[in-house]
Amino acid sequence: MKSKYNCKKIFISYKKILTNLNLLILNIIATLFIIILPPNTIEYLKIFSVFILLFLLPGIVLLKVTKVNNLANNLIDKLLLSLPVGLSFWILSVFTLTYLNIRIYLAEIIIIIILFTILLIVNFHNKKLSFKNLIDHNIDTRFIILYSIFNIIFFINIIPTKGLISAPLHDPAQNSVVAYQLIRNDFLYEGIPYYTSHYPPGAAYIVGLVSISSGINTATTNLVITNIFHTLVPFSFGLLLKTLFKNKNIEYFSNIILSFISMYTLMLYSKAGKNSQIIAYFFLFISWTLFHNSIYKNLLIKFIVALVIAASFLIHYNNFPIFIIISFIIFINRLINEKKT
Amino acid sequence: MKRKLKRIIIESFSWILPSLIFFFVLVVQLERIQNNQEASTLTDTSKEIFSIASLREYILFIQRPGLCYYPIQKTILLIFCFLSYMIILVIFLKKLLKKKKISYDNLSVLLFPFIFYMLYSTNISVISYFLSMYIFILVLVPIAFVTSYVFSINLNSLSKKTATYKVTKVSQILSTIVFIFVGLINVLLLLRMNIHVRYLSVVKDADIEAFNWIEKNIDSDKYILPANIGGFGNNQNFIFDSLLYLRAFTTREEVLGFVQGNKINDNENLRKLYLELSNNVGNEATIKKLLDNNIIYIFDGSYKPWEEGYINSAEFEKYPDNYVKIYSRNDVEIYQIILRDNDI
Repeated sequence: MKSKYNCKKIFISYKKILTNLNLLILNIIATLFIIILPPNTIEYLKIFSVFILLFLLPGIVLLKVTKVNNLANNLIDKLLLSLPVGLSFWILSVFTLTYLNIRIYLAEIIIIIILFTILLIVNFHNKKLSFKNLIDHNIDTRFIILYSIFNIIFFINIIPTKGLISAPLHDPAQNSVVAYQLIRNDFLYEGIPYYTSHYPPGAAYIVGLVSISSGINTATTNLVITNIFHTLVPFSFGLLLKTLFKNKNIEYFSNIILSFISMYTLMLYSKAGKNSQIIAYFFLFISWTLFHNSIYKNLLIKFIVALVIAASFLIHYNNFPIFIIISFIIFINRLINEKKT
Repeated sequence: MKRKLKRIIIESFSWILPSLIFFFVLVVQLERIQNNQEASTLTDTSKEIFSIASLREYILFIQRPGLCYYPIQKTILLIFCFLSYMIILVIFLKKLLKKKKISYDNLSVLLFPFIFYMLYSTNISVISYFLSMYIFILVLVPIAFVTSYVFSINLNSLSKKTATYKVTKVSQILSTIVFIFVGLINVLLLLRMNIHVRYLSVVKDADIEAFNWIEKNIDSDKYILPANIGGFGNNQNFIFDSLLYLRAFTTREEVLGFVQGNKINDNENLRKLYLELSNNVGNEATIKKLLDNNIIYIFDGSYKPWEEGYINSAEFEKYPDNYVKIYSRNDVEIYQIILRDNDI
C-alpha cells in the first residue's frame, strides 16, 4: 500500500515537473520570438545579449560571493536581485573611476565581462548541478505564472516600439546625448559641458555601456533599455510587497495591478518621456526590498545594499527623498518586530 | 528589554558606515552639478538646482507648477497623503505605547497608497495635464491596493463560520472578476498607448542619413539652428524634429537644444534672436547677428509630430539672396546662410 502511494507520489511529481518544463520551454520560445521578431532583429538580439552579459552575470557572481543571495529563496528572486546589483556595480565603478580621472575603454569592459563569465562558470562547475533539482525547486508554478506575466508585458512594451530609432519625446534625448558624449569622452564626466541638473548620470552610464559594447547607437539602446525596465518595474514592486507581507498572492496581484491596471509608468513614458524615472522605480523598489532584508544581517550584505541604494540615487534625484522617508518607517518597524535570533 | 535596546542601537550604528557610500555619491554628484553650472554660460546660475529648499519642495510637493492648474485635485491629493501619513503614525505610536507588535498588515493598506502618491506627486505636473487620466489613477490606485490586500488574506487561516470569512470570500471573488475585466480592457489600451509612442519618435532613417552628411560636410565650429522649435514660454526650448538627437549621432552642435550646452552668448538672447527671425526671415540685421554667433546652417527634419514650430522652412525659399539649400533628400532639408564678403 505504501509503495503504491509512493509510486503515485513520484508519478505526480514527475508529471508536475514535465508540465512545468513544457511551460518553461514555451515561455522561453515566446521571449525569443518577441526579441527576434523583425524589424531590428540583430539590434535587439545584440542589446539583450550585452545587457545580460554586462549586468546579470556580474550580479549573479557578486550575490553568490557576498552571500547576499541568501536574502532570496528562489531563482526568480535571485534574478531580480542580481540585476540591480550588477547594474550598481557598473554604475558605481564608472562613477568612482571617472571621479579619479581614470578613463574607461571598450577593451576593459570586455575583459571584465570575460572575467565574470569565467567566475560564474567556475562557480557552477564546482557545484554539482542537478537539472531535476533546478526544475523541482525553482521552476515551480510561481515561476511559470510570473514568467507568463513577464512575457505578456514584454510583448506589450517591445512589439509596438520595434523599428523605432529613438525613444519618444524630449527627455530621452538628454540621456542619449549624454551617453554618446560619455562614450566619446571615455566615460569621463568632467569634460562634458552639459546641463545635468535634470538627471544624474546613472541612466546615461547604463545606456553608454550597452551602446559601446553592442555597437548600437545610444538613441536606440536607450529606447530598448527603457522598455526592459518598464517590463521589470511591476516585478520589482511585487517582490517588495512579497518581502514585506510574506505572502505570495499579493505578489501576483501587485504585478497585475502595476502591469495592466495602473498605467502610471506607461503614462510617464508615453506622455512625458520620463525614461530615467522608470529605471529609477525599478531601483527604488529593489532598494527597499534589499534594505528590509539586510537589517540584522552582516556588514558585507549592508555594503552591497548601500551600493544599490547609491546607484538608485544616481539614476534619479527623486529616489533620494522618497527612499529616505519610507526606509525610516521600514527600519523602525523591522527593529521593533525583530525576533531574537 | 535592555538587550533588545542594545541590539537596536548596534544595528542602527552598523548602518552608519554603509550609508557613507550613498552620501558620498550624492555629495560628489551635487558638487559636479555645481561645477558644471559654473562652467556653463547658457544656464541660469541664479536659480538653485538642488538644495534644501528644492528638497523641501520635493517632499511636500507643493508649489509644483502642474498642481496649480487643478486646485481641487491638489487639495484632495494633499489631504489624502496627509491623512494616510497621520493614520500610519497614530497606529504606529498606539501600538508602540501598548508594546504590541506592529505588523505590516496593519500598515500596508495605508502605507502603499502613500508611497504611490509620493512617487506620483513627483511627476504630478506632467500627468495632471491629462485630467481624465488623473482622476482615473487617483481613484483606482487606492482601490487596487486595498483589493490586493484583500487577496493577500489567506482564507484558510479564518474560521468558516465568521462574518470576516464571508466578507473576505465575497470581496475576493468580486475583485477577481473586476481584475480580469479591467485587465483585459487595459491590455488593449496599453497596446494602443505604446503604439501612440511611435508617433512621438522623431528620428527616422532619412535623418540619420542627413546626420552622416552633416558629420562629413559641416565644420565643428559652425552651429546649426533648428527650423522647427517651440515652447519658449516655459523658459525651455523644445526642438520639434530630429535635430533634438543631433548630438547623439554626430560631433556637431545645434543651438537652442533641449540638452543645453556651454557656448554662444546666453539662451535668452538666442531666443529673442530666433523670434526676431521668425517674424521676418529676410531681416538682414538678424541674419548678421546669426552670422556673428557662427550660426550658419538651418535644419529642417523629415518628421514633425508637433507640426512646424515658429518658422515654416518654406519661408527660406522666398529669400534666395540670403539662404541656399545645401541638402535636400527624403524630406530633410538643410539651408545655409549665404556669407557676404564682409561676413568672412
